[in-house]
Amino acid sequence: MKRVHRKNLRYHWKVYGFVLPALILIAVFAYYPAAAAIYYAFHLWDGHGPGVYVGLDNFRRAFADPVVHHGFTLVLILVIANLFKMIPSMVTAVVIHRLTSARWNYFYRAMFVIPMIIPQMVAILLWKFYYDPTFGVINALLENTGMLDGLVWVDQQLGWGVFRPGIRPAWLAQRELVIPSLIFWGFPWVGVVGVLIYLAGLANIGQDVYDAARVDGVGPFRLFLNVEFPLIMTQFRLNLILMVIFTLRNYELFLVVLGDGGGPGGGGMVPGLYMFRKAFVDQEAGYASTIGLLMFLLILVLTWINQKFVRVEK
Amino acid sequence: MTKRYVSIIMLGTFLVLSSLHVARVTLQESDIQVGGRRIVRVAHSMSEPRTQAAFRELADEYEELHPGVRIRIQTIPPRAYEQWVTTQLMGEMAPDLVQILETSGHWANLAQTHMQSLTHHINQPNPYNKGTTLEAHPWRETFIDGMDGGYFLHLMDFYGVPLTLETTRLFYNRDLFLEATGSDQPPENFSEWMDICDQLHTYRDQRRRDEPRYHMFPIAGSADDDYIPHYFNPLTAGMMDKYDIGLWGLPNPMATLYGLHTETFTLRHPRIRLGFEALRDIASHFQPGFMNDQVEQRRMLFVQERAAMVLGNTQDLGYYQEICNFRVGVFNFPRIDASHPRYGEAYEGPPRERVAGTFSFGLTRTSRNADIALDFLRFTTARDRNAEFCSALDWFPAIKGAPLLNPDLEVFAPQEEGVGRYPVFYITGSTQLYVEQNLPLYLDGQMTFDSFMTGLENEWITEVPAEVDRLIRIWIRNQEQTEFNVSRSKARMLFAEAGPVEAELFPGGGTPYQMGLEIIELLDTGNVSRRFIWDALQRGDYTFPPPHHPSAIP
Repeated sequence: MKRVHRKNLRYHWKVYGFVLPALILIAVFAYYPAAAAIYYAFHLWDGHGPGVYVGLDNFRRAFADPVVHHGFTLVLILVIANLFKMIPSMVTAVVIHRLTSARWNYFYRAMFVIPMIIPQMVAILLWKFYYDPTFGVINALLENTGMLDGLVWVDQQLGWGVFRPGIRPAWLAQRELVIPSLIFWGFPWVGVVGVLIYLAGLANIGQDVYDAARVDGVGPFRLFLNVEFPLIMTQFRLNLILMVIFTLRNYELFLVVLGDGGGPGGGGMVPGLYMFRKAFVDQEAGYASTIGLLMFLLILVLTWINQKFVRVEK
Repeated sequence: MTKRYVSIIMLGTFLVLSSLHVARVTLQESDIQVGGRRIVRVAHSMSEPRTQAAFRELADEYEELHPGVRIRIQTIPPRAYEQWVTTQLMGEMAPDLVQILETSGHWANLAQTHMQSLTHHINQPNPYNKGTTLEAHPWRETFIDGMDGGYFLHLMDFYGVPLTLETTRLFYNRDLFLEATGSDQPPENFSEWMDICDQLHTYRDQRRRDEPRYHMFPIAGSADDDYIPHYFNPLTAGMMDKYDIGLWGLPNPMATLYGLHTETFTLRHPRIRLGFEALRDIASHFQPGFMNDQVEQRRMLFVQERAAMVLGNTQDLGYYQEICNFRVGVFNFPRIDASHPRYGEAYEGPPRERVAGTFSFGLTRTSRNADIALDFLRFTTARDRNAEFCSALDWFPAIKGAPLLNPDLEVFAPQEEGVGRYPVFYITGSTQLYVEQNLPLYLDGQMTFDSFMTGLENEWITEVPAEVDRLIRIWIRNQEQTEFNVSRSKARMLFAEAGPVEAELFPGGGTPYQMGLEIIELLDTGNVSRRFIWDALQRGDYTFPPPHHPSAIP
């Protein structure tokens, strides 16, 4: 790195001057809260007033806290489920990319961009409404197609005690149904951003590669497996990192859908939601900072593993 | 080159214009006098047209009485209201009067920092009650709730003036009742109520034979429903008295903790079991998953005739009567009494309702027409005005003796006499989380009483002592900080060269003598009797220690 001498500042001060406001804002709004969170992770602190230094007590407490254990286990389940939920985005991107008509290709790309303008909160509320036991689309669909009777029959054979005759399932209020409902959330799981990232990667594959594959008589599935997938591995890795970070950090969905208690039996209590509850309901901002710090460390480790072990063939 | 200058000139022009616009809006917002008339700004969150019209009418009457005054009313959408008020208060741009949503938590912080204490005003009579039986009564005593709705317990001061009283009752679809049960009359007691619910279930099942998609639930409930005290308290009242080691005389989690740790009390007590069974009886008539539903969802169920009954408060009366396509009735929670075959043995008496006014308004510290704003509050809470205002909205008046023009409101009269001191089965932290997560499962039949209470007792015994210890440690640290601030103010007062005393720091502050007395009082007795000092100081008969202080009792 080239060192900037003091005398050069005279010539570059304008450049530094332009950068300075952004740096100050980043320091104040990004680095200071992060540093403060690390500081308060070692304190008993109610969110206002001075804290009491407690050393590693908050960390010991977090490691012994069954709610934290449950939260990280739930996140693990969701990460695994989300891995499978990444497939539809990839398949959709490949199908759009292979469209021979430029007009239809453009149309589908546009169709995938439009949903981006719908606020996330609207989508969450819509899905919550789909799951409503009385007015929801899902129960109406199950009832009208007779699938609900089928579920009741299966339940009676297997003795689950979840689906009862004449009673519409409360998807987000029955302990056994909360996690499956959250996994089903967003069906058919075609993530807009994911599709666009894959499309960008697919666009970089040269036509000569496709021609060569065609000459070799490679079928559509082998083409994806042996040509396209390895060549969009960079995009897959990026999506994987984004998915892991999002799954670990996301709590807004759970807060809106299940409330700050994590729903029936605490089934939906992810670490982010528990952190929110500790900070803003229980007034334990110090402990909330500790949970936040643990989440940060986990994301860091997972990202490192991803970088290290998910290979990209150049 | 020319283009470059044009863009810079345009940018500069826009900057100047926008700055001017911001300045103009800012000045307008902070207007205290326009065209010779003094302006009082009032902000609230009730966006319904009826509320706005009733408020405007009240303001017009006041302006007619005081031609030199103009009342400007701003309505902020409920979801944004708290953030808006916070921003306005912090930016010192707040209206003179703002609606207070709560008397604790965030609002207590706002009140302490940005609002004026009304404690020393409330013991004076309200001049607008002249010619009525309330003429000679202190303003506070003219309120049904004794102005409790504006009292901030943790600050030991009054900051709000409530305009109405709010209680929860049951609304019902009279047409559906008639069709399903043969009568449109409400139930007289708990047994009758449960019978009606069973009849509604039967009616639904019969109707479903012809209309398979027909769905109707006897009661529409939500997570926010306030029915628990009406059934849990009468069956468990008084059972914690012997554990009330702090002599609070109120339901207190410490009594539960003490009982559990001395192993002299259990949450699986037969009376608590009965209380919870009564709750489950009721919950069995709610729609599935009701604990996950919000108020809007239960309202929708009722309005769309998917539920025969719904819980609602006083402010819902006008809404339901206006919007529903059926006859709406309202009744009080049917009581369990001593004659009930199952719950009667545990019955102690009717539940006492906490009577606290709502739709309270506080006076901001930045108000530059505080005298008028306060006078406007007196005007709105004069008996006749308050009755007019509330009757226009079908609300229950906050002032004693105000007539009820809508007879349906009578059922909302608060039940002040009754039993209390029930066991508190959770405290902020792990027990509260446990209850929030598992009570829905118990009420829905997904969990037994024994397994629910065993888990809860385990939380109390293993988690709560450490949580209380943490709370105390934080409290002590905060107290140290408070003591430090008090000492700093004391030093400023004693050493005049340090600068002028900040009169706003303490209620009744102003002269060093007054402040000195308050500081001594604060240090000696805590906050307990601070709010009683002002009047004695005004009369000049303040004695120290105050008569109710333990050291003054021989």
